[in-house]
Amino acid sequence: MNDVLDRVGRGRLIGIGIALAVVVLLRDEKEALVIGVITGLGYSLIALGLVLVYKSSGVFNFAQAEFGSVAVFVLYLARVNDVPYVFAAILSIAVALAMGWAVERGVVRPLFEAPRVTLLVATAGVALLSIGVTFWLNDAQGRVVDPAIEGNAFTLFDIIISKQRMLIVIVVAVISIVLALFFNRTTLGLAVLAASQEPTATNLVGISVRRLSSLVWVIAALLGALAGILTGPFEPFGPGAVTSKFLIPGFTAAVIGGMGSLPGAVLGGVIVGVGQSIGASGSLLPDSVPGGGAVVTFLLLAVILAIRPQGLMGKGK
Amino acid sequence: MRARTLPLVLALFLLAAACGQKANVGETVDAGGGFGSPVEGEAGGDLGAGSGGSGGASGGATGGATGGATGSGGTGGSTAGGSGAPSGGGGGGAAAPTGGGGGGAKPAGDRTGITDTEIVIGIHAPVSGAAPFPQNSFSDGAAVYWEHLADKGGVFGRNVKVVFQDDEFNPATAKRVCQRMVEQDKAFLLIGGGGADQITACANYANSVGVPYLSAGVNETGLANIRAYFALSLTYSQQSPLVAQLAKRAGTKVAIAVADTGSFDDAYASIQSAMADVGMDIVYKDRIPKSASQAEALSVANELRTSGAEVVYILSSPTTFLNIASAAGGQGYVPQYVGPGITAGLNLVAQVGCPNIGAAQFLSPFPQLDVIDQIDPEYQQAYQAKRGKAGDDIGIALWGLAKTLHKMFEAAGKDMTRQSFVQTLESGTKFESGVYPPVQYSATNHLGGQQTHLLQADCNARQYKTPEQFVSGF
Repeated sequence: MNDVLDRVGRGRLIGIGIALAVVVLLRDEKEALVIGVITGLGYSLIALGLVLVYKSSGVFNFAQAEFGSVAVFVLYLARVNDVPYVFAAILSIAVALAMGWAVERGVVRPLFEAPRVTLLVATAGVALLSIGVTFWLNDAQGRVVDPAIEGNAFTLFDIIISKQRMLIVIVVAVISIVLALFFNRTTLGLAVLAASQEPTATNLVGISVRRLSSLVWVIAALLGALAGILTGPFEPFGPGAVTSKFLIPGFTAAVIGGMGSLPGAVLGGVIVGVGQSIGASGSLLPDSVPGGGAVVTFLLLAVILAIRPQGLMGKGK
Repeated sequence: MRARTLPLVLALFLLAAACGQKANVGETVDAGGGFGSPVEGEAGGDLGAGSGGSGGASGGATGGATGGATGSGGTGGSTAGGSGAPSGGGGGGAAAPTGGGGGGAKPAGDRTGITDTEIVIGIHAPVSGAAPFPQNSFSDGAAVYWEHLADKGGVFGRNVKVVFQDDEFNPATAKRVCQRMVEQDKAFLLIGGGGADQITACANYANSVGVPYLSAGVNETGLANIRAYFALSLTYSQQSPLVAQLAKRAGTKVAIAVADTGSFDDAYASIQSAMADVGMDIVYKDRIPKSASQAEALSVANELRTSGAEVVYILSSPTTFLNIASAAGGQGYVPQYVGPGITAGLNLVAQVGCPNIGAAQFLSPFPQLDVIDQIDPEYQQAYQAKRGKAGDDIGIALWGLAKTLHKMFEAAGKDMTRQSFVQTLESGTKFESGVYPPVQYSATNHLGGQQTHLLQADCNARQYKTPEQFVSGF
């Protein structure tokens, strides 16, 4: 019965998606569509990290985007000290990974048996602490960091796509494939899934659930770091920049996609980006409606959850 | 069940977080000790006392300083003040600034924050959230003028203590820090450093508790009818004709992009009229997100570009301006940006925004570093002496503001109260600091700006220059 309902819901959403696409094209919103896709992939990276942690431990990680804020700040510090870009990027990712590991060991593991809401609050505390520390080190002053690749790749529907944007597309594609293979084809990936669903049984068969938790948090930190250093060059940043700009869209993307679905996180990010872009373009809503991007995004969220509470690619009970 | 409820709970959280706090939401309007409205002429008890007190207080400023001891300002004030109406109360107040007199008993009124040795003032500004401001610039610059003045004897022998708070570019936070500065720090008056919604929220709170509130000119919506509020420079709407004249110099096709906060409604309407009046072709006009995401910034930038606008009027936070300019620059579009404002013309915006902001031009209540030595040589000398380094442009903004305030304190007199301070400002006296353009208020007009400075970005030097000073037209 659930499978039937699942199929009906998915069919309705596909229908709505096609109708929306037609509306977008008829209203000549092709540019908004392109902008939404290329910017939404940044949200996808954050959403992937959120889903990964949620999938493995059921925790909403409010510190996810802070891995990106820290990474872009380290990248900036390295670059102003004339460290070559590749080494600066590696250093920034390494610092973010260390932060992910430290958060897991210092915050998550001691609270492993605590209610999930306690962990949620703890991760929010980590984010606030991180923002405070970077504020203390960096002041509130805005900084600019250079992109990994300069120049433009091509023009699509009159929108110039930079090489840095294309790099994000490639990274998200590669990450998605790697994660899919990891969870579906490797023993370690299956162990992570097993640990999230039956931690006691997983321990009984000799797999250390705690060690797996460290691995998941380090991977999540990597995803956050990539979001930070890849999207950071597009605008000035300050303390907590990635958190303030990406965390809520990232959560929205994860919920739209289905909190346990990695492909759903990528799709959700694109949907959020398109929603923001169309809402901000001003052709859909009158001037009198402030925050058009947020309005359209949350309308999409509401419609999708009303039809499929488990998200686009989440599995219903 | 869990899988169905958790996303819904999270969605509700996201919705709540996205809604945020809007200006004036939850404001307490006019508590017992409030000022009310300059137009409606509210009678409140404090105001009546203030009107009475004004005569004596202001009389003290002039008459007292010259040794006059027989003036009748105090008496006149106390009787006229009984009427309580802001305009009617002018009997005592209006006579006071020039009336001599004073010197008698201290007037009735609220002297919170004033002792024999000190005057406490509170300043709030968006150190975080709105712009790439370095906090040290505010904390270093806030008291330089007052410390410099203390060496010369202070304000009637009193030193001015500055309490500074970061309002985080959030109206709710602004109201909270203003309340803290009033209740805990006992600030005599409050000053808004920037951010229209925060200034509006805090000014309304200040008015409700009878505390004078000053800021550089921002919106008129929600501020024009507040008795406690005084604009230290032209409001955005007052700047609109000047900005339109400026835009006319750069082209004929203009885009108007104004942040979608209700505080900017008057500016949005006035700039459209002003652009039409000078014959500009408005090819784009829209409200833009107050805090734009990357998708929103790129979307707005693309619409500006495809509109064919040669000139873009922008009224937003510096962060949003920088994000849109950065996105537009990425699309190969660098128009002539023009606008009013307080903070868009700060050097940090040029440092972070160049080359994408081009030769952006913004009106400003304060000049930039390139001319400050000609306008006021004491600024850098004092900054160097007090802080051991050269002053920056945020320091100039704070210096000029303090200098204007000093003129107001002097006019209000040694025995000023909050009420007499307001009455003095309403008396029609012109206050000229030589850094900020002069201001002049009346009982029915607290938006007293008359001139402005013009700032222009120089991306070779990554800073703003001041091509024109103290201008009232282009």
